[in-house]
Formats: sequence, C-alpha cells, structure tokens
Amino acid sequence: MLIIALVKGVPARTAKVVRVDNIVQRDAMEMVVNPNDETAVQAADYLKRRVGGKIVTLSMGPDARLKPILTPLYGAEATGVDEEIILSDPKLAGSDTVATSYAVGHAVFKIYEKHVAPFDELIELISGTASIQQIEAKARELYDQNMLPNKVYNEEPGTRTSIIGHLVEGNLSREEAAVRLRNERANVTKFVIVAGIRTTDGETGSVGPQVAEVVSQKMGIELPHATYVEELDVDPDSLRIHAGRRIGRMIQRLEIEAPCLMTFAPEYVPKKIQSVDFNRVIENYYKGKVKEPMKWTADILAADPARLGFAGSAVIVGPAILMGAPSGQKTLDKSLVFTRAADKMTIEGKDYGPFKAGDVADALPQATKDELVAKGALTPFSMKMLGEELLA
Amino acid sequence: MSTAAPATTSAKVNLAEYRDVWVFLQRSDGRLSNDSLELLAAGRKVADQVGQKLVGLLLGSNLRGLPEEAIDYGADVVLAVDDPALRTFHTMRIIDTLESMILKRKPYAIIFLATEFGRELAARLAYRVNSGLATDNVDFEVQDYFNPKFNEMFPKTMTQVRPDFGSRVAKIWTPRHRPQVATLKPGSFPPLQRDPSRRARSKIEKLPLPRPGKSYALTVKELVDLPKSNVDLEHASVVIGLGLGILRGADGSPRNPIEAYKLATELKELIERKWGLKTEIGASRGLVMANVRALEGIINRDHELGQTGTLISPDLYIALGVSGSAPHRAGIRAKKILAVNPDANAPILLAATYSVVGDLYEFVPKLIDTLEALPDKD
Ligand SMILES: Cc1cc2nc3c(=O)[nH]c(=O)nc-3n(C[C@H](O)[C@H](O)[C@H](O)COP(=O)(O)OP(=O)(O)OC[C@H]3O[C@@H](n4cnc5c(N)ncnc54)[C@H](O)[C@@H]3O)c2cc1C
Repeated sequence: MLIIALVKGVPARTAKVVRVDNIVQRDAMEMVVNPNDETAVQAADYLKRRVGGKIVTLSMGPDARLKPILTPLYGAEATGVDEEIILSDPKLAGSDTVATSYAVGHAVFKIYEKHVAPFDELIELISGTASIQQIEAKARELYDQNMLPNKVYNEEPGTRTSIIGHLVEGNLSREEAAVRLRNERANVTKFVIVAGIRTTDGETGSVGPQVAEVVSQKMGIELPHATYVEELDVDPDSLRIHAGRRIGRMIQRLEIEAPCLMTFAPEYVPKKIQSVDFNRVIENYYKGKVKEPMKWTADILAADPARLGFAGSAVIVGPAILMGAPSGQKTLDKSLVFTRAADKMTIEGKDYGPFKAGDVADALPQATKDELVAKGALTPFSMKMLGEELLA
Repeated sequence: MSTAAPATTSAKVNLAEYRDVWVFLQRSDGRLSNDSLELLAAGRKVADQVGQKLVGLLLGSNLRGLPEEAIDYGADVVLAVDDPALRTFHTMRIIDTLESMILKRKPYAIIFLATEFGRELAARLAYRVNSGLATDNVDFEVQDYFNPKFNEMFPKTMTQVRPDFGSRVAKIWTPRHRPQVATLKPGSFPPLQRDPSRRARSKIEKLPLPRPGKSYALTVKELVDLPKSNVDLEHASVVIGLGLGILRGADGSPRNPIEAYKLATELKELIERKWGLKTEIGASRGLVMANVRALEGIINRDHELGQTGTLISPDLYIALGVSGSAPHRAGIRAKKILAVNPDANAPILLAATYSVVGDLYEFVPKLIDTLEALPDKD
C-alpha cells in the first residue's frame, strides 16, 4: 500500500511569531514537526505493518529548515518512513489554505503518478519486443530506485519469488506476468493519504478535506475523506479501510474504499496487531529507505501558476490586532493600587494617570510609589479587593 | 465526480450575482442545537448589514418542526432537504447536496459552525465551489473593503474576525470570490429571542435530494450516540480550569486531586448561588490526558479546554494549577483571568488579569471565605 503522510513544520511552542508584511516568517522561528502529524505517521506505520507498502511524507516549506526535523522520521515508530518529499519554492509563499491544498494535492497526485509509472513501463516492455534480460534489467533498476515492491522484483538469492523472477525462470508467460503486474498496479491506485487533524500554528483542519478535493478533481474520481479519525483498521485482502471518528456526541464508523484521505485526532492510538501474514507484508515492502529528503519545486507539479502562493489565495488576512497582556494586571499582595482617585502626574517628562480608586500603580517610578504609600494613597492589592473586583 | 468544473481562480466572479446569507443548521435532541441558534444570530447580523435575506439550511431526515424553529430564531427563508439518505452525517453526500444548491442559487456567504462536522464541510465545499475559507470566526461585519495590493475597492464584503495565535485577533476577507465560506466558533453570539410572529413573513422551501441514487466510496456503517455531556463550557460565564498542578502542593508534596476538585466545586456553587452566573469546571489537556485514577468519571475529554479541547469566551476564567501553554491559552478568550501558580514565570500568570503567585490549596479556601463575606448582591 502506498501511504502518503502530510507532515508540516510548525514553530516550536516556545518560538516567537515573526511576521514581515503580515506573512509569517518561518525562517526566523525554531521549528518542530506538527505534533498532530506525528499521530498520522503512527497511523501510516500501522497500515504499513498490516499490509506492507511504503510511507512517503510530503511537506511544504523551506527545505533547509525542514530537512533536520524530517530526518528523524526515518526512524519513527516501528518501521519509519521510507521517503520524504519537500515542496519548497518561493512561489508557494503566502499561500492560504486553498492555495496550500492546491499545491499539496498536486504533489500527492505526482507521487501517485510516479508510483504507477514503473508498472506501465514494465507492462509495455513485456507486451512489446524487449528481451527477458532487458525486462529484468529495467525491473532491477526500478527496484533499486525504491519504486517496485518485493512482490514484483527482489534480490533474494535463489528464491525467485517475484513476478519478474517467475518470468525469468519461465514459470510465467509474458501474458500472465502482464496480468499480474496490472493487478499490482491496481493496488498502488488504492493509496491512502494521512494527516494530523490540524496544525498547531493556526490551520484549523481545512487542508485535509481540501487536498482530498484537489486530488479528486485531478484524478477525475471522488476521493473520500474522513476527519478526526480515532479508530483505524484495514482489511489486508480488499484493502478496505475501517475508520471510527467522533463528531459531536457521536461515534461514526465508516467503511472506506481507497484511495482516500484521513486526518487523525490526537486520541488515536494504533491497535495491537494480533496476527499478521508476514510473508505477504514483506512481499509488499519496497527495497528500503531513500534517506535523503527530496526537494521538489513548483514546476514539477504541472500546476497553474496563477493558483499558487499568494496569487492563488482567495483569502486575505489583515493585520493582527493585539489583544495583548491585560492592561492593569494585578498581582495579589504585590501590586500597589490606589486607595482613592488621583490626578494625572508628570514625572521626569512622562505622564501617568489620571487614576481611579483600585487602579494599579505598578508602572510608576519606585520613588513615587514609596511616597504615595507613605501618604496612604497606595496599598498592596489585597484578597478583599480581589474578592470585590472579581465578579463585579 | 463532482459536477463543478475544474477550479480556476483566474475566471472573474460576478460578485453582484451572489445574494443572501446561508447558515448550515444542526440539530440536537429533535431541536435546533444551541450553537445553531447562535449561528442564526450571527447570520442575521450579516444579512441585515448587507441588506439581504438570511437563509437557514436544514439537511437531514425527519426534520419536523425544525424549519419553523429556524424562522422563529431569525431566518427569513429555510431551504430544507428532508431525506433518509441524509440521516447518517455522510459528509460527501451533504457536500454534493450543498454544491448543487449553491450552483443553482448563488449565495453571498455560507457559514457553518466550527464543529468537527462543520469544519470539514466548509473546507471541502469551499474548494469545490472555487472560493476561499475563513475558519473559527468570533464575529462578522459587512464593510467596504479596500485592498491596496489590487488597488481595488470591494463593496459590502464580509469581514471575518478570528483569534490568531492566542492573544490577538485577525481580520480576514474573501473579496474576489463567492460565496464567502466561513465557520463560526460556538459561544460567540447570543441567540436571538424566539419570535413566532416572524413566520408570517417567511418562507419554507422543500427541495429534493439531488442525485439520490449516487453511491459513494465511503459508507457509514454505524452511528453510536455518546452519553450526553454534563459540562457546557462554551456557554458558561465563569470557567474554573484545573491543571496538573492540582496533583501537588506548592512544596511538591503529593495531594489528592479530588480535594482540588471539591474546592473548585465549592467555588462554582458559591458563584452560581451568590451571583447567578453559570459556572463550569474544565481542565487542561495535560490533566485530561493524565487519566488520574482519583478523577475517574469526574474529569474526562468533555472537560478539555484549549485549542484541541473547547474554545471558551467566558467573563472570567479561573486557572488553578495550569501552566498556560500556548495551545491552552489559544482556546481561552476570557474578559478576565485569575491564575494561581507558585511559579512566578508560568505563562498563565503573565496572561492573567489577576495573578496569584502561590498554592491553590491555600488560596482557594481564602478566596471562598472572602467571597462569602461580601455583602449579597442587591
Ligand atoms: C498538538 C497539541 C495540542 C494541544 N492542545 C491543548 C489544548 O487544547 N489544551 C491544553 O490545555 N493543552 C493542550 N496541549 C498540551 C499543552 O501543551 C500542555 O501539555 C498542557 O496544557 C499542560 O497542562 P497543565 O498546564 O495542566 O500542566 P503543566 O504544564 O504540567 O502545569 C502545571 C502547573 O501547575 C503549577 N502548580 C504546581 N503545583 C501547584 C499548586 N499547588 N497550586 C497551583 N499551581 C501549581 C506548576 O507550577 C505548573 O505551572 C496541546 C499540546 C499539543 C502538542
């Protein structure tokens, strides 16, 4: 099963948000993998352990910044991810959710295309006049590029268990091999896209459903999605997905035909795998990991440039309005507050006040505060005052 | 496959063709949900400001009584699709239904609730009908909007106001596309007064399910109702939030968290009795996820506050033993915050109107005594 995990880099919880021209400057902030996307990687890992296949992560953002945080995912969970793709292009800057989904959806489609193409290539060779040796050489090349599962070609010495192996041995005719390759191709078509329910930097769960829509339009099918998934299973024979999710005060249980997209709630925990047909899982694995994340630029996507980045965004975000730290913040037993109203005062050229009884005087210079305390005009903010103000 | 032509933003939308404000209503126990009444109030504001009709959308099975209720609470028109196929909350089918309604009738805006269901509908539908999306709004205003980048004035555009990174709000516009698709955060608008006299001036239209025989790659196998939540954080005037700090005294010695829960309950009952303010107890995600044995059956997922949990906007938030992590604060939009924490650098203290550097186990009993001692209101 081809599993595509959408993984976003987000500012670390401790990072300060930096903006220029109202575009968040991710370069200037410390980054981590969106924690919800780690949950999605767990789901991807579960699917891979159940039915075999490979996990490809897809990210969008500056590649130099994303590489270091994505690399550890190769060792994540039980099996880790197999390939990582970073969509990195200044043309994508300033994307709203629609423009983001448009780019990500096109990249998903590209990944899918890349994974069916090797089957088409082999089927064409087998149906044509290429020699068995030429076919085997091509299969080895594609296998080494991590583009064919063990079932189609592998290097196990002596055991010619793959489709191409059987063809070479003469156990399968060219026609039979082509039929079996077509079946395997159909399995790649049943790919699954997984993502976190939302990111911690302000995206509110829109990208998942929108990517499903983009891929639908691109493939001319209706690719279903399910959000907030908490329960997940897959039937290894039919590759049908069983998912449970919580909407409002309901659990909705779904049966989904892949290709499909799911977003995972933080509550999702992979099931324990009771029994699994190891041979089948291994047959569906690919050769191994491509450890260097791959950078894709926007032109790889064959997308409409007018729909990318700021130009392709339908929504315009105005300047953020600071609600800020509450003014007149008071600390119990520590802040000094006025016991009675006081007129405006000018101290060393700075204006303060006027003040009402109860207003906090913390901003005044220390000497002034000492003076006012001595006069009884200021007093520490007491429990009684707090009680009186709290529910007023 | 959807009937929409492949999306292109380059085609210019004739903005004036799009009229009326649509709101997607949901039900709870055979009535419109409380959130939906709030949504009607929000939609009413937009419709009045733009000078168009407010249209309530009801898609479901056995809708008896709901269209009238929607009218009573502010809708001018109700579009109802009543079909057993809509019983199971089948996202794809509902999107198909809405898409066909939008293509035919061209609304100015369509607003969903920012619930799990509303969010996914809004997102996918916005893309399908070639528009933009603004989520989790707390307010709407209709204004003429000038954009300096396009050097163009967009008359009567919906300004969508949403919280942004915790302590700020952002204004968002979808000037060049229609319908403007948005979600509304529950708890942001008070419902309008019920007014059955509105029925005389209103219209209920029943529409058939478009493409009834269509089959989908996704089927709903089961719907299980969860027990009703007994906390209503979104509509409380005062929320008391408990965090992992309730497990220890300020000196680090273990405490039985049930004591903190009892103190919080005492405080809640006092505020309800003396001030008549609806008060609820919530919890940080940290505490909910810790699955503390002593709090089993008392604190659960329904209590979770913050970005992943419930977004709240009470008059007063009382944070006890909460550190105030960014995702926690992002879900709190209280007029006032009282925070108690022995760590003077805890982020919640910096965000609080009233900071108490100390132990909740010492502070809360004193607060209760102080509040008890105040003269009764009136
Ligand atoms: C993707 C993601 C989403 C998240 N979403 C949310 C969310 O929606 N909501 C949410 O709450 N969190 C969320 N979090 C979790 C958040 O990051 C924190 O882990 C969590 O909020 C911490 O809970 P806490 O404040 O109770 O615990 P802690 O951070 O452990 O804080 C406990 C505090 O109690 C204080 N304390 C100790 N003893 C006492 C005492 N006797 N009296 C008073 N105070 C005391 C301590 O000084 C400390 O500040 C999210 C995290 C992630 C990764």
